[in-house]
Amino acid sequence: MKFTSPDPTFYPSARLAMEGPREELAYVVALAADGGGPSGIPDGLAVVDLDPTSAGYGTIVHWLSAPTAGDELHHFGWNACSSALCPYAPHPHLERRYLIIPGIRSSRIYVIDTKADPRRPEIVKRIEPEQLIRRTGYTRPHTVHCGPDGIYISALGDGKGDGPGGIFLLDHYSFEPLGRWEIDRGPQFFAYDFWWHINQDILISSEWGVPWMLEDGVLPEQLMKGAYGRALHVWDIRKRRHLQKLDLGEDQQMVLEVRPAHDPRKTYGFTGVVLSLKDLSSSVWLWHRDGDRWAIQKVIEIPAEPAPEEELPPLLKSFRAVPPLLTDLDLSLDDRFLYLSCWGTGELLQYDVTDPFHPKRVSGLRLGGIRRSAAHPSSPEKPLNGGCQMVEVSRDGKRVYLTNSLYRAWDEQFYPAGIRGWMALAHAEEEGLRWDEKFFVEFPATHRPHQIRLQGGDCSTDSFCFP
Amino acid sequence: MTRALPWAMAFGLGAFHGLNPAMGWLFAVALGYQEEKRRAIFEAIGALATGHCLAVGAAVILFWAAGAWLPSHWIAVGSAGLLVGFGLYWLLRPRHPRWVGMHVRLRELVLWAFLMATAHGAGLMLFPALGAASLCGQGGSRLPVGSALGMAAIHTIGYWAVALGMALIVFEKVGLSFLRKAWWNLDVLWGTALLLAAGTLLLYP
Repeated sequence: MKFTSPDPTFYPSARLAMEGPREELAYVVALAADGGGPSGIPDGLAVVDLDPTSAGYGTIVHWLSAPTAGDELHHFGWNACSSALCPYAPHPHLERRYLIIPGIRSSRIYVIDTKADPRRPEIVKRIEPEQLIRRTGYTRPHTVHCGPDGIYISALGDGKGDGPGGIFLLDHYSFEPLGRWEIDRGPQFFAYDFWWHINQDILISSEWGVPWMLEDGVLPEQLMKGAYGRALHVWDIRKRRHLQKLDLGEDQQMVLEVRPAHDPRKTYGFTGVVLSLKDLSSSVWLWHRDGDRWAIQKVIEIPAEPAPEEELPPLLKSFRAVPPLLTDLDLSLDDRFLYLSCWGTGELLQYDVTDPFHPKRVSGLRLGGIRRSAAHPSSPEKPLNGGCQMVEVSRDGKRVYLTNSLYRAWDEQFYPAGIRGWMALAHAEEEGLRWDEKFFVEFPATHRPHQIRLQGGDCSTDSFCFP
Repeated sequence: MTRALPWAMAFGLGAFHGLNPAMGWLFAVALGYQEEKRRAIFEAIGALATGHCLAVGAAVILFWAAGAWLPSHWIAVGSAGLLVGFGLYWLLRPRHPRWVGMHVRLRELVLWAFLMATAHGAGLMLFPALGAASLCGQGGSRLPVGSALGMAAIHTIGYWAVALGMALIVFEKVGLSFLRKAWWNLDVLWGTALLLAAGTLLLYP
């Protein structure tokens, strides 16, 4: 720990974070393709070399195996980030050092130290599921956000695999679970992602479903009933109370990632809806402050692509279309570009959201996809499966990293042939997106990659209290 | 000369407290940026100085009142004990306060500064100065309450001047990158200062 200055990866503002050094390593969670059951193979954390001057550029340089099988590592985050500079609870001499990695199936949480050797991180602590349930009442931990006063983690359900899901806190120093975050949850029942407008003391959470609706795959009869999540929830962070429910409508199913503007003076953000029951389209919605309340409206719609029945997996045959399945989105630190990844069609879309109410499409690329199986330019003859899924943008906004697996049980439904894991890189240039031909990481057949975290922070980890 | 020394100490400690971003100036900078005007900084520092003054004033009154029915060496030892406790806490186990958020009214800032100063033992740090004032200022007799409060006031002026200066310099001149380069671990410095104050009390009770 340095005495005279904060961790150099803490930035007071998003603007300063964009001027920071280029990322050299990525940490990517990889789940065992068979769930670990039959083979006993555990999930892992891959360390990927991102330094173009290095001989190992675009390869996995280290593999950290989980000690037990069946965790389903999914989303994860840092113990501390730029929010440590927030003036009401400043702790600038914490370090961005530990990755907090929950198993979304096992409800076990690993704490991984990246400091001694960033290229060879090590597990230093485990929080067992029993302890998590006892302390918080929650299971299936998902999103990890480093808050100014502790580590916030969302969880999909309770000890019985039902709801409500919610948010719990980990202590910043000991990583012990402190308890359930909500004091008054109002009508909120489903959980998934969350983030905040830190200078407004507002937290926004989204809805996927409770564990029994998710863990054996998407349940078509539940989906047709519109039973999955369809709303955002607005919370008062200080009072930990529910303020408002933003209902997107009965056709909208599964409201996933939330991406508030990084500039703390702005009071809007974007969220993605996976599926419309009306026409299988995906959509992006903009929430924004409207007087004393919050409002939400649709700003982007991505249509489904018609397809012959024989080219579709059983789940989709009767619809004769490939839904785009917008499953992740990411906003550049200057709040200018929004990146959407459509796991069904394999499309990565770049929108200019300088005017958040009127996004303009700038460019798009394809990789994988249910029907197209679009190839990477590094080997144009080789069709790829899975599709653009988890997307992470570099701090300077110039590089967009992608992986292709969603969630094991759902992978099998949409890509029944089995997903071969890959990670790709697109450069965001003046004229739009372009694939990096030298960067294409093929994961071992035993594993599939999910979320990516960039060394020193990225566009979905840090929150800034200064503009 | 020696009469002025305790007052200089009180003022200097105020300046030291003002220098600590955790005591308020950083909050004022953030509010200045959030509202995009310099006026917000003046208002915030005013509110913060009020809260700080109340916290220090309360500690000073406590010290003064204790003098009415306790022998001075008991007060010295008791205060030193408190200082050591706070000092070790800030050296070994700094924790997150969770009293307010970012979206605050001015009276909440007053409360925040009051709680921050109290939790950091800011008022306690003044005890050696108070002890010294009653010794060399009043020739062994008890320090008048007016002087004790004057000490808190002088302390607050030091705090206010430095905090306002820091906030304005960062907001107007050097900008936010300053926070990345020069943010000392004041928890360590603070804990050390508390221990030094305890030592002073024990050596010169």
